[in-house]
Amino acid sequence: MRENKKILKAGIIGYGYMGKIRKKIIESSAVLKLEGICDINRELITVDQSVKCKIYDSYKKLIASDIDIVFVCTPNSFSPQIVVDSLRAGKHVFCEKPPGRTLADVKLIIEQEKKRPELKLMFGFNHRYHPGILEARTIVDSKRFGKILFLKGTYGKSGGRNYLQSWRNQKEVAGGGILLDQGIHMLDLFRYFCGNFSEVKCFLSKMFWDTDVEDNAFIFLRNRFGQVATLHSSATLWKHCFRIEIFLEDAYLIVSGLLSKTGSYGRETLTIGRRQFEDETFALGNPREEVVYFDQDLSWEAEVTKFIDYITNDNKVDNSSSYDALKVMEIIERAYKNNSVKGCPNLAGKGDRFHEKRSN
Amino acid sequence: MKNVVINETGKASEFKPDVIFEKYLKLAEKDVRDEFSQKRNLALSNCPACRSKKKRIVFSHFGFEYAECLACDSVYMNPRPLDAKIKKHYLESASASFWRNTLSKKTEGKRKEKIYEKRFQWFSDIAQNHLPCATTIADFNSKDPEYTKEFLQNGYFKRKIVINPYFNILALDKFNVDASSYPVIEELADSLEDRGMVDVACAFEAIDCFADVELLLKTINALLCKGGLCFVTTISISGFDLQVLWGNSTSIFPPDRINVFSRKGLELLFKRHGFDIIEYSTPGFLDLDIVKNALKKDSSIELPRFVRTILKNGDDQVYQDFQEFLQLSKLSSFVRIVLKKK
Repeated sequence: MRENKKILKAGIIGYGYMGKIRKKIIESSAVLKLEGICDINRELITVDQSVKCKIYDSYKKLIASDIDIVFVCTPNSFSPQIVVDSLRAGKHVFCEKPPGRTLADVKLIIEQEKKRPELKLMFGFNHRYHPGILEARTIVDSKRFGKILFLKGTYGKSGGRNYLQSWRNQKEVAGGGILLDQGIHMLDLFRYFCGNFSEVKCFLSKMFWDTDVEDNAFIFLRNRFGQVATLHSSATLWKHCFRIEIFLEDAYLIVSGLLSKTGSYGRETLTIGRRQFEDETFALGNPREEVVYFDQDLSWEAEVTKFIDYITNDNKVDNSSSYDALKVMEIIERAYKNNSVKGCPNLAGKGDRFHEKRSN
Repeated sequence: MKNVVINETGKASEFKPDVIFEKYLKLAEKDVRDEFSQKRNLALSNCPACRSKKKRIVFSHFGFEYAECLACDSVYMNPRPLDAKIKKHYLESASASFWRNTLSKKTEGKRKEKIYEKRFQWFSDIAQNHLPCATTIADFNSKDPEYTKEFLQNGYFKRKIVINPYFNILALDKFNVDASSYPVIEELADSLEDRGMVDVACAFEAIDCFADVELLLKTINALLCKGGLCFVTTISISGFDLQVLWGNSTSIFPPDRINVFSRKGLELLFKRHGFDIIEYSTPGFLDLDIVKNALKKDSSIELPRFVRTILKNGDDQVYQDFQEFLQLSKLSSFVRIVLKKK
């Protein structure tokens, strides 16, 4: 007999880049039905002829409607209050990263979450679901190469034509710069592999873009097991780059490139190299490597499937949870405090040669 | 679907030393002509990959014709011997005995290091990733007691089953392996008692020399549990050295290679039998070396000018880079595949 799956009605708040991605994922799901979309800029929705659901001007009206799930895809300054209001309205919530501008934002969300334990709240740390990361994690979990010694991560983009105009680079709206916008994914992955970090050291810089948030961040982390992780998060990597190196006792794993819509981060690969102790006289330091090439990014689908699974089976959210959001925001907050962007040398200005300053 | 690229280097002669391999080929030709020449022992076949009837004869080896499927480009011996006859060949012929006792013995070290150990690493790594609770592994149609000995002694799986071996299992005695302490199923049909009980199946170079591939894959599928994995190695006619050498290739001859599937053919074959392909890789590192050796033996072989130039002027780095390109593009002739039962 065929199992009748309950259809969950969903709404999207915020119809920018992420909102459009979520729409696709919802529409491709067998158990989700898109009921409504809301954006303060209504035109963003109306010009999209593929939108067949109801359009809302107010998110409060959307969360008051008969929906089960809210996908929050708004800029950082709006997300926390929308998440809180959605939970208060009795909706399950999937919120994009970052979970807000500050640690206090996440604490506010968690406070409301605790009042409605029957509701599921998950955050969009989709990098955990990339095929290279999934396979690396499985290998690490198998313990066949021993424990992790250290992690090295680079995640960066070049910053584009509208870099200075983008809300992502305005402190008031975003809360931080490249570290909070993109580096948060890598920090989340560091936690995913090594758990919480107790020590945080940071250098922030405004090297190129003359805005009020950092365009480069260099982070050093250490946990209670002595595992060290270093991150370079950058908006001045002129070639887009995603790379995480995981050094274990008996091998190293490198996830490089990301399957993405544009392919600008390069082909997603997982390199597996086994440690080879050779006679030092002849040591070549060039062990046999296997490079796994992936051709399908199902990370968006996989994280939403997981979210649906939490809802339908009433399981505790244990992946990309509010705890994960809290802990990663703790690192970011400590990094900002450790070396505030206000105190860092401002080398920026070169970007102005090519780009007009923000009008405000 | 994953594609794995491996920075391995080596020479074809490490596994098939020229003089010994030449002798093996001569013995094999004599055996095959003696054993399979009677027409009543041969059966006509449609394409074993896609079942298409459309084909054209492309070359012959040892006096037997090979057809190319016009639908999926696979190449297969047609007409072909029955599997019982093929098995008898491997059990009793002088050439098979020569392979086991001379060729395999002489290259034992390299085979162990570069083939067997890499296979074990491959299937235990993938099994750990996809089926961490797997306990039972079945190996199909092994022709080499040396490999089977290593397989049985590999510690990863608790229960190991040898199915339809193409050698006398008592041959394991000389390695001090007591075959009676392992489940050995002599015939494919008898294996079905283990229906759904096997986590991982291995079919290394098995689909190459099995006439009724349908039966082999149906059996593997029946034995595997849901989500069970099947590891396959084979050579593909879509690969570089086979495309370049074509009828001049010394890798294609009966009964070792009665099926030489194309990439498209392999994908169709496995999908038709209820498998998802989770890895399709061509981590071969010998394509150029094989072509180079063929040219050395017979300078009259027609090769594209570009290939001749690479062979003439290329250094080790060019060879390595070229092989890497072949692997990246899934164009080496050595293929490894991981299948997952739906």
